[in-house]
Amino acid sequence: MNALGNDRVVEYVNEHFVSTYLKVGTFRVINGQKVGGNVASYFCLADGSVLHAVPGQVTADKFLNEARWAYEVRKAVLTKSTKLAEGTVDARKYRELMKQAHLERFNAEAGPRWGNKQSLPLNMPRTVSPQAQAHWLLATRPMAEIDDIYPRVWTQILREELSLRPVEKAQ
Amino acid sequence: MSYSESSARKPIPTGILVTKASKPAPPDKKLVPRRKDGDERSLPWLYIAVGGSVAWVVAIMTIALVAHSQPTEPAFGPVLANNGVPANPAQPEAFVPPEIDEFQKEPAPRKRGEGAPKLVRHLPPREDAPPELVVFPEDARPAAPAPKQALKKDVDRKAFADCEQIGTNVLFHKDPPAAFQRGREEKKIVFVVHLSGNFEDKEFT
Repeated sequence: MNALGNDRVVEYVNEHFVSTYLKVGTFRVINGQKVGGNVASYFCLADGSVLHAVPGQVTADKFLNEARWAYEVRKAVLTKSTKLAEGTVDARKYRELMKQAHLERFNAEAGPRWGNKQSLPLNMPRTVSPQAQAHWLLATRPMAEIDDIYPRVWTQILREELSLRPVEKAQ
Repeated sequence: MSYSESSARKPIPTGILVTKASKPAPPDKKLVPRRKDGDERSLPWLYIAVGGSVAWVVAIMTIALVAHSQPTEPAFGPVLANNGVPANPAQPEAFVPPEIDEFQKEPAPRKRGEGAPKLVRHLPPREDAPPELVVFPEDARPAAPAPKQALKKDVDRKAFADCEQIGTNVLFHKDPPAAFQRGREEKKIVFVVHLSGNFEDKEFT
């Protein structure tokens, strides 16, 4: 959680987000050394749909970039999908714009690929970064609920086990 | 004239008329004369190879025996004769080589991962070389560490995690549904951290 110790991160997160936490996995402490364990960050709407996910520990700068991206993308997508005269939000357009945003980020993170850049690989690519995998997941499941997203991030991207067991401390 | 009328005529032969092929010429009866065993041009290569090999072995063994039977003399000793008495009393004493020859001493074996020694080229100083940098004592001192973030103490511990315990000033709601409720009211994005271990225990985070 080094990123959250950064003053700029603290200021930005407290200003723009409402924060909470949840334990979904465990790890072991053997001879004072931490074995296993991980962290994942999600930026969600109030209804639980996931705007963005950051799997694993990242630096403060990286985290700040991702937090800003989530905030700015939400603002842009909400504006574009809102009928300004009536104030109603087109949910289908909202979802489609979020998909396009993640598709664009996936192509940027995964590097040059063969084929159409408007299409996604059928399966989650294994040779790209965890962040690119998260973008692939959110592009294939735009605006899915966090209960649908987090098990995939935790087990498929971070390769961790979902567990509610307490931390085991062994000598 | 109809088609049926024409078919009543004499049928057209379908075979192809060709002339009778002439008989192939008989093969030439002349045979290439075979070389006889006693021919002068045939060489006994087998005997030559075996004989040559034996000759090489004999020659090499002869050289080895001759070299082995030569008397060995000390490299730097005086020429001795008559039961070890020096032939020339004025001859200087024999040179005794040192026990450890510095020049022949083997270099210490390099440790694993240690690179080869660098070759230093002693070049004359360039005239247009920039002057050496002067390091001022105040610059040589290590930079002062960044001031540590002062953690908040006046947070509502019923609603938020203790900043001192989690090591950050980000206000984390203890209750996720309450955070989503507040996000709905304030129209804010909800930032959710999923983690292993106990968030409120530094050792188990």
